[in-house]
Amino acid sequence: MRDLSLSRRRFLTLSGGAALAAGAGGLLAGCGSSQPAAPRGPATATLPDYIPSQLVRPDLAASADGLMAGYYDYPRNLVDAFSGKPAEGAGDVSVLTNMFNPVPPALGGNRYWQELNNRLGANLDITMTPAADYLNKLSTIIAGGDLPDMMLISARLTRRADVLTRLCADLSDLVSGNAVKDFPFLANIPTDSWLPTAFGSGIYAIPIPRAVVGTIMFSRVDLIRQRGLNPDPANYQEFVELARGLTDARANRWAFGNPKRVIEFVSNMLGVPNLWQEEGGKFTSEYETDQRKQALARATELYQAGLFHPDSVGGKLNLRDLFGNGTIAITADGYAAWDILASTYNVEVGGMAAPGFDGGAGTNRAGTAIFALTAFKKASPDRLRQLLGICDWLSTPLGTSEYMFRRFGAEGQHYTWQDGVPVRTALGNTEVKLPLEYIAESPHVLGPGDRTRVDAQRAYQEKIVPRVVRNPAEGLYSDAAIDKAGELSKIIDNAELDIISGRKPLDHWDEAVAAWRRAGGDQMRADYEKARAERG
Amino acid sequence: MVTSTKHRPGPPKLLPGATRAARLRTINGAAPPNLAVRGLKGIVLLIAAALVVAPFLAVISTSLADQEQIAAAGGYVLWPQNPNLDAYRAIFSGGVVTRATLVSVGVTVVGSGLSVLVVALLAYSLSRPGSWGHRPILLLVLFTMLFNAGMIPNYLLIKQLGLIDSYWALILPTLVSAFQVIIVRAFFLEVPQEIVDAARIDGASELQILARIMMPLSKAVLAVVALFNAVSYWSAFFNAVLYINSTDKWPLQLVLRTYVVDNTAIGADLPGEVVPPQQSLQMAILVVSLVPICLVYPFLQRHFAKGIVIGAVKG
Repeated sequence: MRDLSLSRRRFLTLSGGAALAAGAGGLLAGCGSSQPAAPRGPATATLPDYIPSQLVRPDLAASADGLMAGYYDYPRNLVDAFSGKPAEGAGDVSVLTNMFNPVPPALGGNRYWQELNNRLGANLDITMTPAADYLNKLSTIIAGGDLPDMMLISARLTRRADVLTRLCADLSDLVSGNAVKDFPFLANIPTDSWLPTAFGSGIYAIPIPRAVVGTIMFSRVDLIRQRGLNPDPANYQEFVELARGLTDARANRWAFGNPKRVIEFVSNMLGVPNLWQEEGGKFTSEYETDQRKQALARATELYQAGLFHPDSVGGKLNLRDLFGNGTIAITADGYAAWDILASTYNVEVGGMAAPGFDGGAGTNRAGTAIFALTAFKKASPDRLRQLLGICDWLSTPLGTSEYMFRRFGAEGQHYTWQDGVPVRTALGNTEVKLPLEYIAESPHVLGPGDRTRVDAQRAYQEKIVPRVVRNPAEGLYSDAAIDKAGELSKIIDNAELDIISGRKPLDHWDEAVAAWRRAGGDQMRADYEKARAERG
Repeated sequence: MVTSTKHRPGPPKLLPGATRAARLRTINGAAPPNLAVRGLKGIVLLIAAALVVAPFLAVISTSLADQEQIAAAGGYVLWPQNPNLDAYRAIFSGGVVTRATLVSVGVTVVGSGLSVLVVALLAYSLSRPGSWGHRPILLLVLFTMLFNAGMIPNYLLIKQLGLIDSYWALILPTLVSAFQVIIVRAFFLEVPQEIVDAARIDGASELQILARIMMPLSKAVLAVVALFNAVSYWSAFFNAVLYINSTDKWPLQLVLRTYVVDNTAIGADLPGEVVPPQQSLQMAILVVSLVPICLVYPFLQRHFAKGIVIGAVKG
């Protein structure tokens, strides 16, 4: 019979983990002071070197400052990145991660998963959780004390620093600086993405990278051309003229559907900082700048001029469908949406770079360089090396046989080539749905796809990457930024909507910013300034 | 307080030779409203019915519509022009949903059955005034209506019971509801004590009294408990998120949830991959998850209303 009694040591272990997890889930935020401080000393971690992989030559090369590599076609001469099995002898490897795809068949009935294990030399036991519920799952697993070998640490996990530094393995000896060359495909991840993995003197996770290109203001280039308008406005006035030319309320057509994104776009024209601005170790929020208030005033004028969809304020619009059917002509979305919008709705999509307000070049906000982090349970260096080997294998780039297997499965069984494009079979569509890209992943690329589209995407990136403004707080950790994220963004969002819709005057913005500072904005500033000083 | 009972007049007596039309012109003896009022009422009722039917129609139609039409309509379709079953095919391909349906059916049947049994046992013992520990146990039961232990303590309990990744983790945590115990107890209290005494004189044990007298006399309220629990077990997904790691043990609602979550994450799209539109998938999921309850509900509805009303007024 199972012994249900708890030893004192076991109880303390459990309750300690539970308290941490409860804090992580935001349930016991006030109990933070009872926890010993995480080891965050003044020592600075050495980030892994960025060593771009030369294994596959893309049609358009990537750059260290953020240009994504581009491919016009799928490489057919695949390269084997590994000669052996990366985790031979690792045995069972438990993984906890989230998923956005429908759930695949379990290991017993999934030949793709079985073959994956065979190629890795380990038995991946993946616990998948729908992304919407992942934080709850992660919090309870942490509370239970039985951490899996690898786990996705969501960017929204509160007390992330404590969880990583106290419960997870320090990878510094294995990946810091030049040591990362033992894992060449982890070394292929740009430095921007590694910043959030460092706490104090340690590296506690590997990043799941995203491009700094971030959000793009997409426009329906086909509709703009039909009306004889200019898809690349050279200043704010031309942007307004474009919006007016695209709006025809009687025909149910409007320029915009999301006021928040338009405020950000006008902010880019005015050179508003990307969330924070740092000068001599002092941080200033974008909300505290005059230009941000001015951007809000201009967006309010655009709304009052009737250039927004009537349900833009208060309504929940399906912006992609409305963009696809031409109801709105300009919408902001993540960079990966370019292909989704163009392919799903079969329309011509363009990326609009923000011009300077009075002409010249505007700025472009860098996107967050990670989706999330993957951390490891504390283990011996040999074991950690095996686990990093698995992640290295999972980060192999397009053009390698490992990448093709990961994304499409086994040729003939899970996919076939049709006109140079791998197309999944019915079996592939069912089985190749493991959320491997949320354990480790190679940097995203443009294409492979239609040359005209890839060229347009590349041209857009070449224009905006030199103007990218990074958030100086990126890579600096603040508990308040995560714990109070919901409350703080609500204060700002509500104020913006109230002002744009005319319910409150523009001066209400100053009150909202003061409320934002009191509610946690000042705490964030203090956290960042302290972290910045420690990093040196 | 003065109460009066009004005599309700019966239908006026018509002469044997009166026509059918004449009979129809009177409703319970009252003169029927004129045509305009009736027409107006009809229109109001029609609008009300349309308001109820339209969302259902939109759900079913959207689940059958193609991307082009959904995009043109901006989200929801009222009538599909080129209906297809792609969304349903996508959901049922691979056998995952079929297996999850079996899991859900098993959990629902076992869970509801056990729940009725345990609730009846507890309610019966709490309805006998002389039973041991009757008052403190009743207070303990009531206490659970005031406080919930919370997600993490519940997880630790399930873990220490060794139930992680077990089907029992889907059944046991919600097996007993204090609210249902109170309702069933109230029902049992109304059963005349004389019937119980007579059974006892005939030599019946407490279990026999419960099984042969109380439960047959309480079919209505037990049907309500069964239905409540069946709906709750069928719809539950969160316990599975926390306690079940193996996807082959996931219940239907959790599997369907993976379709509902917006699967347009960065990097999730693949060239050449043809997927049904997200909106169609979501609506198809709604249909799939609603059908079983819609099938069962009409058969239990009669008991449902009766049981709730009786439980409510006999406390």
